[in-house]
Amino acid sequence: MAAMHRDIERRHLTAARLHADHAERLVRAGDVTPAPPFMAAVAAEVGAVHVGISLVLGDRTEAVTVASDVIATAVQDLESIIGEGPVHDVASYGDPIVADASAFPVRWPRLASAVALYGVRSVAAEPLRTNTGCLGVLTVFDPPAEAAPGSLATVADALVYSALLAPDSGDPLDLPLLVGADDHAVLHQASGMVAEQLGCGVSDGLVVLRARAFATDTPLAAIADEIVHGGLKVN
Amino acid sequence: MYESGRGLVALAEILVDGFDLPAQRNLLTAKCADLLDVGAAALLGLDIDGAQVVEAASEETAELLARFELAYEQGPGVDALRTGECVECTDLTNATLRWPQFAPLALEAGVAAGFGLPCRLRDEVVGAMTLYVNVPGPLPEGSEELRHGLVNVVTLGVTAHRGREMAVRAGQLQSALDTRVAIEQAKGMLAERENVTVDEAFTVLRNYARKNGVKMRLVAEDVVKGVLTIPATYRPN
Repeated sequence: MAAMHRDIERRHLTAARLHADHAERLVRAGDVTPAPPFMAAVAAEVGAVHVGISLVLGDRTEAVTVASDVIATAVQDLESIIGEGPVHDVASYGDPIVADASAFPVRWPRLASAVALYGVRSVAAEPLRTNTGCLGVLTVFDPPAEAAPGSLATVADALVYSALLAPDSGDPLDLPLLVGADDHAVLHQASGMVAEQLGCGVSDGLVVLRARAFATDTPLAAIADEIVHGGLKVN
Repeated sequence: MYESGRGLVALAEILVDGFDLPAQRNLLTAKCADLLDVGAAALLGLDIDGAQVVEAASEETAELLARFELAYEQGPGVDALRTGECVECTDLTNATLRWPQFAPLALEAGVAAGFGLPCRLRDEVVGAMTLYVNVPGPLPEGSEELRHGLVNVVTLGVTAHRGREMAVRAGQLQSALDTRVAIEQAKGMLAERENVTVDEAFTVLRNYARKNGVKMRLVAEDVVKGVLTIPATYRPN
């Protein structure tokens, strides 16, 4: 019983720290635009620099991603291209992951070498879980070694309850946490275009886009942009 | 025992019939007070964010007293919710040290004794029933079984209600994600098919949805599935 109440207390304290930290950053920034992202507070709370959040669809496709810095953004993009990695695993199986670089080649053989280029040496990922399923994944690259067991789960829990499913939010996606998030609109448009070009489904269209990005070592977003705005045809 | 069974059936019927209406939660609490033969009762719970709230009350005075309990963090219901243990105060005149703000207010409202019964689901306390009795003394002997049954029914009801609230919010978020993605995919398909820009494709989708009274999401999903071909008349001029 006491343990349960301590868990609730930790969740509330974590949520309070996240929101207070974000509020302080907004006050310090004044009228500077763009305003500091909520992810800065999330990164500070978990004690890391490279932190990402992915909200996923039922088929585990990343629908919205937001990151604290360019490294986290780049690794999220790589995972999206390759189709394997911590977000995919956690969203698929619902269990948290902690892995260091020595485990990468076994867990994610195609992602491992690409991630190494960014100097990422370890990863921890936690499901953003509700009582009905997994909304997405909180991923921390190079998490602090001294992090207390379960602390990332508490942050994930606090984010779900206080930042994702917060009451009184009109548009469910109009959330401070998702300011500056990438909704991959152009990627989904490109998937639709490729599906129409090839006469296949949109999920196959996305697979074709990923394959092209991987084969040409081009960012997925750049390929998608070339298709939607540059008239590129995929045969 | 027969009366106890009938009482539980009556409670179950309230739960089945549109339990998410606040009026029905109040009815449930009033029925509890009636079955336990106490003056009034209130149900305290934790909302989706873990904050203590008054879920329901059998009458106005009980709701007011329950709100005092939360405001001062004193009283049988609040203590039961916090500790997960049954709380008993058979004479509130002796409780001015224990609950210095709540006890005088309760006495002024005509309440002489107060009891808090935790509502548990497995190892989690999900709420507490607080009973306000107009005469000092313990609850009637032999009613423990009924009290236990009532608390279980209320526990299931409260938990189901809160679980549904959480599920609704999660469903809204998931639905918003699905809608956004489906619309972008449909824009891409239409743009390619009709040789228009994605912005123009969005106008086509919107025009079709408006003129046919169909949600954008459904139009987009049908386009993506290949079961809807939008006529050229919906193109922007």
